[in-house]
Amino acid sequence: MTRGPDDIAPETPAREDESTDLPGDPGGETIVGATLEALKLATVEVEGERDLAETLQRSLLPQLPEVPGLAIAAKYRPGSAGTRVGGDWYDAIRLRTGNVGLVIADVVGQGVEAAARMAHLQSAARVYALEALRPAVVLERMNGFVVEGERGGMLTLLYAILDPSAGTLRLASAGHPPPLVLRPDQEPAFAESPPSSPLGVTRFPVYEESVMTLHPEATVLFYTDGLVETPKLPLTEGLERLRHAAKDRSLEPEGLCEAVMGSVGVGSHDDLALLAVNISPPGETLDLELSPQPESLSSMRQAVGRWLRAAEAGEDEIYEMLVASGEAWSNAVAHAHPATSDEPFRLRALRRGAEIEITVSDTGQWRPPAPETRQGRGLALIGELMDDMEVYSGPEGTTVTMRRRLRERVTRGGDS
Amino acid sequence: MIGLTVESQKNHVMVARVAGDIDSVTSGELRHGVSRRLTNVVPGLILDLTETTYVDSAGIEFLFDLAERLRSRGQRLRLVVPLEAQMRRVFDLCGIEEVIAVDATLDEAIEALREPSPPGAPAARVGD
Repeated sequence: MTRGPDDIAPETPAREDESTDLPGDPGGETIVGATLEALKLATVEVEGERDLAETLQRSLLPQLPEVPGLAIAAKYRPGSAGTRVGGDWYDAIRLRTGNVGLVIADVVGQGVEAAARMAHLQSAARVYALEALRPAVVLERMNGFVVEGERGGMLTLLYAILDPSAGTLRLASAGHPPPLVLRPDQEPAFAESPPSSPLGVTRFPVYEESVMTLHPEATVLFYTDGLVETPKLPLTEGLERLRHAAKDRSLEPEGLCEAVMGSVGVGSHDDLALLAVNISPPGETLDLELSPQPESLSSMRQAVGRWLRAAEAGEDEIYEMLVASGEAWSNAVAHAHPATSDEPFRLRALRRGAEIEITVSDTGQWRPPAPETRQGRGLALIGELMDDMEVYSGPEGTTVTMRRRLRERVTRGGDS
Repeated sequence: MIGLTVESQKNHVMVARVAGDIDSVTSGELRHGVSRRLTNVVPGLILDLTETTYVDSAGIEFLFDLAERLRSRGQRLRLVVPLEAQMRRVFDLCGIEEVIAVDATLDEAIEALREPSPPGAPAARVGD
């Protein structure tokens, strides 16, 4: 990779008034020649470290989890100047509670060292998050980790727990700017986040939490401050620019990250990380792809519960349909696959007027269970809890279709 | 996720509070958690499901198994399920109350276990 003039002349030349500091400006020809040689050598070294740091950084960034009912996307872009790579990270972690922990952080420093340090800190944050600790406690523990066990400078970190079924976001920040919340009917607004100091500054910091209820179609955008704060752009102005850039954008996370990175990220030399989460509105139909792993059972219930609630089913109806879906899930797992298979199966739910239809299909073969076994009891339960149930088993796999008519709602203006 | 809190009453009756969902994933953990604490000196177990949010057929199977085991050891079992709990319908469908005594509150269950069970009677079997 060769460095073109673009790297020296920033993409925003309009504000370039400190250009007298640029190298190569003063002095005679010999000095220029020597400087050029030195610059070439330095460039090779810098490029080497930069490439290494970037590779390291990219390999360290986590894979985003699949969470039914949520759309999650993230983008990372290394800085453009020198070794401005490393230090920023995002993470999304599925917690045992069914909630999702969201991390965005910015480690002070650059290059391979910052990337390596980030790796450390990222694992620590993950461990505390997986304990299902509250955001303020995660920050306190992280601060202890940084102060006691870790050499190196400070970092800013924001940790939030998203409850997909309740649609709430609980967050605490250690000197990190607040996430931007987008919703279809209003201008984007920053989440409330009490001011606080970065991690690693004091031994016993106090972190406060704020909780917000999200609009049912909201997207929450987390970012690192390279996006809003550059040497030439004070934080408040940067925040306003980000808010403006996110206005009238699609709430779909992938597209949003792309658009924001494209418009705000230009002109910033720092590295940038973006993490966007959309709590997608339950549509007329729900389509889930489920892994045959045990963890998918509770997330399936969460997604189906949310969808049924949006379909205006009563709480008792929801409970009973969740049990029926759970039984179908267990059947698909127990019967359909060899124990080693990772092949996913599908759950589809749709509403036809007042009728809910839920189908669970897999690619395995069906063996009718004996009635006194748990599987048999499960099937009997489906039969009792739903109005009807059909099992179709063919060479392609097995499909269980369950239907139940919702009680009439007085408030609804009739079926459609 | 599932939570299990176990405490002992004065008369060694064990109260196990289960919070969360009892399904095919968590029932195994629960089975393990309960049986590890269930010593021979315990005359009776109250499984308090007030904080339990969900029970499926795996949970039902766990309850039947537990009742069977306690019965064979001469220990008594009562469940606490609030009257308004959604899981009552599923319990009815599976005939839980034909095998295990169900109370609406913990106090009632504790009170019921104060009365000595008739000697030789199947301890956990109440309804028949």
